[in-house]
Amino acid sequence: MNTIRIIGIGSPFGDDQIGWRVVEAIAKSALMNLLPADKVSMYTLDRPGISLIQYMQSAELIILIDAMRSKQCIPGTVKCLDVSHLANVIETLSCHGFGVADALQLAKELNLLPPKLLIYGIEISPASTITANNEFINQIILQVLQNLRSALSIQ
Amino acid sequence: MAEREVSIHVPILARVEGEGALHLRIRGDTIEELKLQIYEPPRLFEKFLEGRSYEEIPDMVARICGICPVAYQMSAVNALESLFGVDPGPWVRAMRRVIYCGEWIESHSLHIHLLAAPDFFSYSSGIDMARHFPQEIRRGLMLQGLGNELMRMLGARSVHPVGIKVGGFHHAPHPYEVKTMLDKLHAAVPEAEALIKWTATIPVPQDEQYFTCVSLRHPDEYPVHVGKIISSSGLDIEPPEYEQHFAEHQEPHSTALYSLMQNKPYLVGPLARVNLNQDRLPPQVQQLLLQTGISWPSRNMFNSIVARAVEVYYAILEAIRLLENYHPAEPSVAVIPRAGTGYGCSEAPRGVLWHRYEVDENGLIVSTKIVPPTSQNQARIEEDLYISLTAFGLEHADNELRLHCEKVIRNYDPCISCATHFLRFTTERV
Repeated sequence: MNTIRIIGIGSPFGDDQIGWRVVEAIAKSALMNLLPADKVSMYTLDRPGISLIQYMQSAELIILIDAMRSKQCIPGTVKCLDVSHLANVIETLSCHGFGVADALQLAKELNLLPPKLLIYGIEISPASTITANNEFINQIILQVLQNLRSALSIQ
Repeated sequence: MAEREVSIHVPILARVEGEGALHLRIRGDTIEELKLQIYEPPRLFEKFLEGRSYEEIPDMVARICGICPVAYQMSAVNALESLFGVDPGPWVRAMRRVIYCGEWIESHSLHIHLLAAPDFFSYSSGIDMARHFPQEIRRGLMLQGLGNELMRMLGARSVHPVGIKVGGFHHAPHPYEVKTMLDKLHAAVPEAEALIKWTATIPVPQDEQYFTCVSLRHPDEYPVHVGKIISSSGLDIEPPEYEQHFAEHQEPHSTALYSLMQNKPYLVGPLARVNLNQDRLPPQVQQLLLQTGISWPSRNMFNSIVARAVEVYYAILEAIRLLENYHPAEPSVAVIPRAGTGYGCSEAPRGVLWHRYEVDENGLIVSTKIVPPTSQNQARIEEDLYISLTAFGLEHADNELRLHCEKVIRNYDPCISCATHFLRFTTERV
């Protein structure tokens, strides 16, 4: 695997696909010019659970994009997260109860997190239909790209 | 002295797959009520398959479970190929065994390290345990990843793999892929040996019980993907005879069906397999099994963690054996469907998984019955809890009783999502 990994996490169910859609858009965007092409790998993972940790190993930069839902949920909100934000996540859609938050917490305990980890959570709700609305999803993609451009330029 | 009435309700069982709960009522020194409540919504797979082509079945049944998809695919193709008179040949049989070894390695490694082991070291989770046992947890993750990789080599992906079809596989791996895989398998052998030794040293309760073990049995090999059905009480039958000896029923408190053999609970899973098939393990595996200090066959469900470790080791060695002289071949044979009923079994990581398919002359599914291992173990789990709690001592504090119940249940590594797909469904329109 290359050392820069852009990972969209999701499932085929409704707006839980949004991480995949964003990664697909990143692959076609000018943002890729900011990254060394021979070092970048992109993945769309379907509910990887604890297997997400295997994608962390020997990476120098990981960009993780996933759907999320918080108490203040406003569908379409893009949030930049830190691993510490995920300590109290309640996972409901994962096999054996191991979701993204648990995988990242475990990787942290085992010193397997990469030196640079950018996590983007995109708020969805059970009733939201973001991925069916091209205009809405394009706004979200634009926001993620802007955030990433800023984050990568600072490095 | 006032009679002690204890009512413990564990609303959500932690570190099990799916959603279940336990209700326990004790009056004085007697367990008055004990119910393992499965409230995972019924997913009705048996109805979904009706009217579908036999060609769609492997991909559809793989979605019953994200942890043991290969098991569902294997029992399904066994059933359909037995009906259609298909012999996929030695290459397919070997590769099916390889991908199944991958699933055992992945499932057992996950369970041992992140679900079961925390119990025995008094940690609330694998994450908490990782702080003090990083080497062991890393080893577990490495082995789990190895299992996933083995599944991907033949199934294209580890979650709901798409490589298996009726008649064989869609794709034969390139020899380079197999060579790379073999190197990793060889490197994992000492880790798997260390895993057995480690699990054998984990202090577990001594809780011997009498129970009937059921597993598959094969004339030459440790049972994985095919076999007859045997029991420690003398049963020895072919898959089509299953319903003559096993019967399911529903309890009001559970969305998953219960299964009994001649009206009694029984055990399926790694401990049952090791108990009934120790002689089919290769010499080096048998040697390590003996060195665990456990008397086999074991009547202590808490030894299941060691049985799983033994099977991880076995699966790595077996995958090496089958891949060592690998050559690509035609990955499948032709299939012509025919009407009738087909029966198939295989050994999912959690135990015997039995399928029955009635098919019409066009290869469309007329009816299905799928009996997962977790539903077969439900009655045994409740029986175990009655016995185990009584032996543990009902005078313990409520919190201690609850923790003990959870440990007992986790011995079975229940896959609750698998157990809830087959509720009988009728409608009346007025």
